[in-house]
Order: sequence, then C-alpha cells, then structure tokens
Amino acid sequence: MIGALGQVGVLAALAGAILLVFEGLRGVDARPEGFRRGTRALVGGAVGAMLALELGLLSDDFSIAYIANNSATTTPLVFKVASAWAALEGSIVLWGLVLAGFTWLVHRSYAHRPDRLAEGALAVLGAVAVFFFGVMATIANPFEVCTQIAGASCVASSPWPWASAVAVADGLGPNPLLQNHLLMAVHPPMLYIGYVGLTVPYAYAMSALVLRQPGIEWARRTKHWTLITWTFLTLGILLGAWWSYEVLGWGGYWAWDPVENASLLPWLAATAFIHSSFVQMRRGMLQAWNFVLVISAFSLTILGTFLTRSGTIASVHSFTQSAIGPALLAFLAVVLVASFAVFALRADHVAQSPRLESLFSREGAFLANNLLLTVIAFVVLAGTLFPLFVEAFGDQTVGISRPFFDRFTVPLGLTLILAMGVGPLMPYRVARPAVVWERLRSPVRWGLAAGAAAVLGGLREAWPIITITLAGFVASAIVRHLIVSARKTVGSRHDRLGPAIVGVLRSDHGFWGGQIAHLGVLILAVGIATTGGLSATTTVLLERGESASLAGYDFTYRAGFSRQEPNRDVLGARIEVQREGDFVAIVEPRANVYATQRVPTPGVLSRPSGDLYFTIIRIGGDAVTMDVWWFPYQWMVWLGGLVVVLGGAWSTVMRAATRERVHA
Amino acid sequence: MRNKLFVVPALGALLVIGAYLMWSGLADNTLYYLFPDEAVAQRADFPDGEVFRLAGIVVPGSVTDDGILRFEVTDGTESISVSSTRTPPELFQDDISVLLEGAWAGDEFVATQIIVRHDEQYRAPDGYEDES
Repeated sequence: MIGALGQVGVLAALAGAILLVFEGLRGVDARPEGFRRGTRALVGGAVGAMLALELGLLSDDFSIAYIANNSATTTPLVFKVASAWAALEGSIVLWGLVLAGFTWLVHRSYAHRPDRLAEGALAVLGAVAVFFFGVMATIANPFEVCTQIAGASCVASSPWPWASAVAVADGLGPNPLLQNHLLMAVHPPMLYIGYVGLTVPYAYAMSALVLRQPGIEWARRTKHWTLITWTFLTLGILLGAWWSYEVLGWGGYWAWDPVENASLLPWLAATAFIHSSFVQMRRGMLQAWNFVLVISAFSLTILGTFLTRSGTIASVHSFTQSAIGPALLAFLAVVLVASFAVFALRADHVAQSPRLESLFSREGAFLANNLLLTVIAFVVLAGTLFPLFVEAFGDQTVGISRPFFDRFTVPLGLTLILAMGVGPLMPYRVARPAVVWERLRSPVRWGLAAGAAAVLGGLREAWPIITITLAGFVASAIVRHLIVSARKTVGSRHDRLGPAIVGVLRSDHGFWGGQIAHLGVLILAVGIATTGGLSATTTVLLERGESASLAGYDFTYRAGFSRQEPNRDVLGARIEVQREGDFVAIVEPRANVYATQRVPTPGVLSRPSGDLYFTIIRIGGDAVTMDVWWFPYQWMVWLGGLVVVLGGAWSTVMRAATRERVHA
Repeated sequence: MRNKLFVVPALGALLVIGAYLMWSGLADNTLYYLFPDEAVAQRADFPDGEVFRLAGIVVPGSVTDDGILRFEVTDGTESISVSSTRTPPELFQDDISVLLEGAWAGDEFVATQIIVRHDEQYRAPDGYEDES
C-alpha cells in the first residue's frame, strides 16, 4: 500500500517534469499555468515519494525490498529516518526531492511574468528531473515489492505493486558504518542540497545560451543561488570529513578517497565560478569562461554521483552494483555533449570581453584565482580518474596514493592563499605598485612575525612554517582592510570603532562575507598543515594497568567494558590519560559489533593543543591493541571549515535582511 | 596585451611542463593491486621493497604468531607466504579475504598493513561476541 503510494508519487513527479520540458519547448507560446502545474506535480510527487518511503521505514514495512534490506525493527528511530538515503534507491529519492525543492524556489522567483530566462531554466530543471525520476520509475525503483527472501534479506523483487509480497521478520538494518554516528542523518542532505543546487545556475546558463541572452543577467540572477548552494556544499564536505574522523577511525579526516574527491571537484568549480562571476558582473569579462565553469560544476556533480553510486570505485559510499552506473554515465555524456554543443552554437552571441588592461589588478588576481582553482581541480580529477583508465585499458587494478595529491595541492593551495591576500587589496583595471605596496607593507610584516614566532616556538618543518607565515600575512591584510574601512565611517555614521566595524560588515555584506570565508580558509590551512605535518602515531599493545606515551601524554589501559544495545554490542576500552603525572581524562575507544560487521568508534580527547586519538585494533580479555595518534591543533580544521560556512551564510542572510529593510 | 607573441609559447611551455609533472606524479604514486598469481607472474616488475597491494584469502591453518605474524594468502592458483609485525585486526582468521600493503623480501611478502575485507552481506560467525 505504502509502496504503491510511493510509486504514484514518483510517476506524478515524472509527469510534472515532462510537462515542464514540454512547456519550455513551446518557446514564446509557453503558458505560465503550464509551468505552475508542472512544478506542482513535480514537488507534490517528490514529497509524496519521500513521505511514503519514510512512512514505510517508520512502520517497518518489510514488504518493500529497499526497506527490508536497509532497515530493521531494532534500528534506532533517527537511523530509520536516515535509512531513506542510506542506500542507492533511497538516496535518489532524496536527490529528486531536493531538485524538486529548487525547482519550486525557481518557480517562485519566476512570478508569472513573461520571463523567458526563468522559463528556460524551469525547462532545463525539468529535463534533469525527468532523468532522475525516470531512473526511480525504472532501474532503481525504491518501492519494489519483495518477492523472495533468503535468510534475513530480500533477494528478489518486482516493480509491480500488485505482485504478491513476502516480508522478512526483522529487516537487515542499514550498513553499520552508516548507523554508527548521528552525522549520517545530516551529512547527506547537506551535501545533496549543495550538489543538486548547482543545477540552478546550470539551468539558467543553458537558458541564457539557448535564448541568446548571454551577458550578465543570468549571472546576476544565479549569484545568490550559487552562494547558498556553495555554503551547503561546504558544510556537507565538512560534515563528511568530521564523520570520517569520528566514525571510520582510520586516523584522519581526509584521505583523497574518490568519494571525497567527488564532492571536492564541484566545490572547486563552484568556488571558481563565485569569484569569476564577480568579474563578469563588475567588468563584463570572462563571460565565456563562466559558462564553461557552470557547465563543469554541474557535470562534475553527475560524475561524482556516477563515481559514488555505480560501484565503479569501492568505498563506503559505493552501494552494490546496479544498472544505474551506465545510466548515469550516459546522462553525463548527454549533459556534456548537449551543453557544449549549445555553447558552441551560441559562441558568437557571447560578447567579446573587454580587454584585460593589466595583469596587475583586481581582475588579474581573480584570473590567478581561477587558474589555480582549475589546476587543482584538474589534479584531483586526474588522480581520481587515472585508476579507472588503467583498469579500462589494461588488466591492472591500481590506486593513486596520497603523496600524489599532497605534492600538487599543497603548493598550489598556498599560492592560492597568497593571491587571497593580495587580490582584495588591488584596485580594478590597473594597480599602481606604490599604492599596493602601501597596503601590503604592514600585513607582510605581520606575516613574517607570525612565521618567526612559529620558528622561535620550536617549529622546524618547512610547510607548516610557510603556511603560518602566509596565513598571518593574509589575516592581517583582511583585518587591516576592515579597520581602515571602518575608520572612514567613524565620526560620520558611528562614534566608536566597534559599531563602525559591524556597520561595514553589514553594509558591504557580499564582500565581507567573502573575507570571512577567506579567514576560515586560513584557519583551515593552518589546521591542515599542523595536523598533517606535525602529527605523531604509534601502535601499542597494553595489558590491563600497563601504560604507554605519545606527544607528552601517558595513557593507561584501565579496563575493558561491554554492553548490549538493541542494534549492536559495544566492546570498549577505558583509557586513562595523564600529562606530567596529572589526570587529564578517561577516553573510551570502542568496537561496535553489528550483525553484519564490526565498526570501530575512535576515542578522541580534544584539547587546545591538539587531539589524542585512539582506535582499537583488537580487544580481548585483559589486553587491548590500539593505534594512537596525536594531531596538533585539530580543532583548527573544524573551526576553519565552520568559519568558511559562516562567511557564505553571512552574505546570504545579510542580503535577505537588507532586502527586508528596503521593502519595509 | 603588449607581448602576445611571448604569451602563447610561454603558456604552451607551462602546459607541457604541467602535464609532464602531473604524469610523472601519477606514475610515481601508482599503487598496484595484485592477486597472488599476478604477484608471482610479475615478480620481476616488483623488486624487493617496491610497495604494492596484495589481495587474497588466508589459507586455513597457515596462521602462526610467535611475535611475528606469518600466514599464507592464496587466490586458488598461487599462494604466497606473508610475514608482518603488525597486529592483525580482530576479524583476521582462516579463510577470510584480506588486503595487504607491503613489498617482497625474497620469497616472502612483508605486510605493513593488513585490512580485512568484508562485504556488506558478511555475517559474523555465531558466538563471536563471546570473545571478550
């Protein structure tokens, strides 16, 4: 019953999506009510499908194959809800729902004027929705009826709701890795909002090309969409890194895993687009380039989905093999060919950019930013796809190991940070060296002072020293800029510097949101450098009462413990941590034994100077074997990431606030 | 811009250098995944100390541990002796699928990393939880 409802939802959404495409194809004859009906059907159907899936999960309806294989009666409530996106078919329902939500927002902004740019965008969104709901209706149907069971799992299913259903007794439960931490309930939706949101600028860009309306209108309209989307994407990636650190227990937060790369690639393209669209809006430059970036960002999300959802690359995210791989690959090919064909056909309508007067200017800095982000994206893409090519053209299975990514991204990233400090201080058109130097002088001194302080503090590794120097330079450039801007308003609009600073941050929220994000990147960069360059690790075997030490901390295995929870058994070690004889804390790394496998939960002791991180390798009787890591200033990674998100949110929220004041 | 004649070859040269660096970077950091039969057949390509990953099944009854863990992995056709000073993960046992990272040392594969591979359908044997 619930399954049938879900199927109806999927079909309704598919019908709505098709209607949007048809209405768009009518061109000048398109009717606003057609778009309204299409959007309503798409949104209603998508919401219905998701509701049906959640209802089925919450009521343990194991006659639905997906639910039998991905949820269990013993699964805790929050993970039942999250099971809706814990495996392939369900995750596409979430994708479809987010896409429908964005379509609804675009339709709201369309406001029923004869607004052909928005009409075209709605049609493109519809076309993308046709693919995803088409997949849901056919090869990855989340509502298939379970027709045969073997043991605890459902092994055969039928797409016809009237097929005679059999149900397992308890359900298999979600993949243990995915029910080990609450983050699993939040990370995918955030990431999907970021991923799917990139469809909106893409849709507007294609609409602008087809309607021969290049220029700045589409960039102006999509600016805020891109920013909101980018903020969620950043948050999604950050939560993914945190999950990796807190759950996987391999001792780190970023492994250049293909799946991580898949989320980073669209982020790099979107970041480049946010920067270059400023140049387009301000100076009319880089118009063609911006089309390329937007098409790339969208294509990279499809590529990422292919990599993570097709089982081509083995990882925690790749679900079992299914027919969706080839379908996604075909869709990617269609998107790439169609987009670049339209781009080529309309090339003569894309206005010739005004000339770049000097590389030594704000535009030049934006260009450097885009070049660096593009090169980083290329490196990551090459490292991610190379194993696939080797496998496709040879018989070997290979992987690309971490040093490849580090070797390229570290120097490129630091150069990017340098540009981040110099760029915002340069005027548009042509910068006079004397003016720029005047603005740079004190930040350069602060940067050198920061580097010198690090060396005096005992730091000897090159990369962390360089990173700290650059971060000190850029941070003081940002702070200096803020104070100089605020001082100008003291006396006229504000009495004191404090309120003046807040005033500046609020009035030019777009620019300062960006600067806040830059500050976050600096904190993040220092965190990456210290956790990567100065970490220490050891493997210890401790009998009860025995101690070992790392990075000035002594830790003692006090006792093992075990407890039974409904969905798992927990085995843990109680570790007492001391520093110079003083008690610091008890840390409890655990091994969680699920029905299907065993998942470690690391024990993490976070202190201002760094994280002490314990993972159990084996535990039995009176002894425990653990990997122990020391990550100096790990909190900077999380704080930096959050500040980046805050920067994006600041621009968005303050913009909304300003608009309300204007309209009030 | 003034020096268009100069910019094009400079960009070209940068591209070539970049492509070369990237290619050599990829080649240097390629980690091969081999099954025992491939590892034996390609022994000459992987001299002692050259790191690669070896995937196979632990031969039942081959595991000994006297401070140094020793066992054999097989893919059904060839089997290779493995030694390691690493503590194996808990699920490590006879007949289980493992992924090893390490290098040849003579006739032996010295593993620096032992990962037990379990697919999603894997079920722990009964009584496993009693171990603690």
